[in-house]
Amino acid sequence: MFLRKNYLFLVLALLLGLFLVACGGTPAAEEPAADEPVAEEPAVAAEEAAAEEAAEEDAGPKIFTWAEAIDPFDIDPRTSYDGQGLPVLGQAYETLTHYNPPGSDPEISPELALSWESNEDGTEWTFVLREGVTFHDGEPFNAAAVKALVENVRDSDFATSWIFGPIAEIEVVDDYTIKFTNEYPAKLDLIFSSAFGAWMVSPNVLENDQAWFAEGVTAGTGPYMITSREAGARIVMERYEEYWGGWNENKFDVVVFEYVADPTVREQMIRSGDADLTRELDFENLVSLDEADGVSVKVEPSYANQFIMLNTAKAPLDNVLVRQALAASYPYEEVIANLVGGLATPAVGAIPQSMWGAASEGFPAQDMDKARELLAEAGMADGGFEIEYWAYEGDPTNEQLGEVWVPYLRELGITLNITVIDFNAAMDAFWNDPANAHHAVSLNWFPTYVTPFDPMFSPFATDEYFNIAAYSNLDFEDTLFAADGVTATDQEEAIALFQQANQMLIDDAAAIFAYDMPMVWEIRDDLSGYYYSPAYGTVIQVYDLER
Amino acid sequence: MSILNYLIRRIGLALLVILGVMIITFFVSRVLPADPVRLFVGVRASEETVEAKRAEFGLDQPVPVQFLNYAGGILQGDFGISFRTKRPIVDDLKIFVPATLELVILSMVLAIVIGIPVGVIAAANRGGWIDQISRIVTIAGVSIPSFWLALLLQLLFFSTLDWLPLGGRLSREFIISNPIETVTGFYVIDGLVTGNFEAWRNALWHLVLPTFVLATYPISLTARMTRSSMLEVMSETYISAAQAAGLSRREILFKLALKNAIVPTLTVLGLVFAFSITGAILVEIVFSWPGLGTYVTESILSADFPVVMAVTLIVTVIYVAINLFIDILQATLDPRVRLGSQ
Repeated sequence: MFLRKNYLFLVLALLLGLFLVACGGTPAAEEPAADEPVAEEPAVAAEEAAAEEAAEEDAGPKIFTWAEAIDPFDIDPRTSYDGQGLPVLGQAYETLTHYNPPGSDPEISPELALSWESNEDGTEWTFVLREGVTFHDGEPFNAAAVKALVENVRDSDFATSWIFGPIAEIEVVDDYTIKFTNEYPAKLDLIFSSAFGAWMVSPNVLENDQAWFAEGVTAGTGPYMITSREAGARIVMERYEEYWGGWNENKFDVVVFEYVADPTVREQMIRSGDADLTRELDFENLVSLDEADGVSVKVEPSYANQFIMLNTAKAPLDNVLVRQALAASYPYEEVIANLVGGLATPAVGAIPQSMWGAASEGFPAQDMDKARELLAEAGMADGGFEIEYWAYEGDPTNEQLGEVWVPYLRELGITLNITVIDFNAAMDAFWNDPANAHHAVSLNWFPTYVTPFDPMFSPFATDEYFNIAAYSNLDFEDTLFAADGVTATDQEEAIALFQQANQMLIDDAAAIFAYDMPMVWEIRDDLSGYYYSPAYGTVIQVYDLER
Repeated sequence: MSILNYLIRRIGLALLVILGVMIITFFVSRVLPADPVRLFVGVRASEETVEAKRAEFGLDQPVPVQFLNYAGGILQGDFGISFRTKRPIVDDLKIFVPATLELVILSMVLAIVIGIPVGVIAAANRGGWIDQISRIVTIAGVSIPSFWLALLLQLLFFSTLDWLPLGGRLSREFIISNPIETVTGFYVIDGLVTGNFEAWRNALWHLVLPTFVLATYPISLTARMTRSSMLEVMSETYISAAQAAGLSRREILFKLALKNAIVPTLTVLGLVFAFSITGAILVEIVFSWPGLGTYVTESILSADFPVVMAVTLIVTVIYVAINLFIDILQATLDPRVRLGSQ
């Protein structure tokens, strides 16, 4: 009988004992570093210094903790196509070329390729590869490995396969020289700097699928390799001793990704030093966080856009005048000042301001008089219609982008109904029947590699999956392809054509180009070596950081 | 009705409930307007890739055929592949179920060893200061949202006092250098069994806050229920007779009255156990506890139907099993329960 008092007391005592043991003092691993300066006798100080040195030697590996919100869906470097996988991939894999931050000269610098050259029309490219590099499985990195990877990605049905679409032939000239022949001109040094699909992977694992990589295996050439993965909780990466860049005592031995969904908890982690790096915290706390001891907030440009796609297939938005009126009524300045912590930057069309080819004038501004005139011209002077605005769930900014618009549309006699919806459900609903889906929907876009072609092609070319504006303009597409065709050979001409295509999108009001998104990092300020290139989205290379 | 017949009837009903839940979750998942295959292959994949994967997962077949395949898999312990993590769901469950159960079981132990004595003592001192305090505390306990209490305790014990860890099951230094070898998945057991006492102590350390937060509601509810039942029993004539016969106060309270007052509390405990499994979702998110809650939340947000269905089924089975156990315990303690069911 469990109610016997002896038994009850036994259970009580056992439980109490367990918690007393647990609370009996902070285990060594939890002790915060004591760094209070104290005046001491020299002999004592020397003894303590020696003891500290010995303690450091025994302290175990130097751990870098990165707090992320979501455990990545896909860590197969060939197929991963989202911002969650990149932080991990960026530590374990490398590309042939590296795209530098905006304003750098050169734009592209060597990584696994030391040098490269192309013929005049951009159809033949020769890359000279770095020697002495090995993959995590010991396999040497060489021209044959590059050929195997490119063929594997190009000839598979991966979402990333298109990036190597121009490559027709691959010739291994020698162990460390590889030559590509394109079907049409393409800037391969740019393509090989891609954040998606261009990571070099050991030829030994190319037959494996996403599930194999999901177990927590890496086979790249990068400085860290995954040693354990606890799904939903953390990924542990340890340094690859044979890394070609070499190691010094200030670099981190271990990188731990902690997946912590709650931004409040991540904020506490970075404030307390429990995490060294995090992102996606609440914008309203950034000022106080930047002022906090030990934490630094880095606001960086990015190549990500925030669009509000306008459905050209659904009345009355099938009338370009109505779409232009909506674009004129949008409170751009208010959105930029009040959303995203005031950190966003104005956008001119689909080409982000920090990307090559961006327009330097023509920034949009709210103009309610113009909106009224356009509506009157469209025969809807009093508005009198409703707009279904869809916001993807998961990011409250998507809703806020609609909410701030409501009073201005009301002035025009237009009602905005906001629906929060699952991304996949919204895409399905649109493709089932575009004329009965949203009128307007928020979409943020991050390019695969740094070219104006990317943010204009996928969201705005006819029948492309992300063209949820149902926009179709063959002149626009011809101009876009013409621009892409000369990117490898005449960048000035390419820029002129890209800007022409961009202006068509603005004139046709295929979307409201709300702003260019910022990238915000929260990092402990005792770290040196911070470096960020927006071409890699959510990657900070821990190898660059030292403490 | 004999105890055997009672048992067979209850098990039969339990199996029917599980089958019902399986059918409902399956068909609901098939009518929701989202494409899980798109999630698996990535949003930028071509239509050909999407269709190829749809065929590979059998999602292009008629819905009844899909259900038979699904049910057949379940019977063999195969819950399918998570569209999000790309791993067999059963492998994920082996990690997440013990983590959640460790938290829930410990919180239930706290509910029993704290809630029942508090309820008994409060009833014995009806109207006194102990009773008043326990009533205020238990009302607060059932009213405070767990996520709020969790954040508050984190601020106090981690950010301000630096006494307890912020979250997780183990400090990352132990995870890297001295992890607990998995035997059962329960760190409290595995640490002891493998003799890794330092890591075991660290695991207990991490259990303190989440267990306390999760236990707040069960402790309070159990105390209130026990107090209420005890007051009812204490007014019975046989208690007065026992007092007149000279039995000690402790014997009357814990041996005589509690035995009869415990039955409704047991029913509540069964329900609270199931409640705690689903209630653990918020606690797990705040404490970064890698359990079912964290797993299913990420899966719901990403429309990972196979995982949602699997977790729903697992929670149902646990719920049904616990209630079956409670029913049997009640029938053993109080024969009127099985007689009543005739």
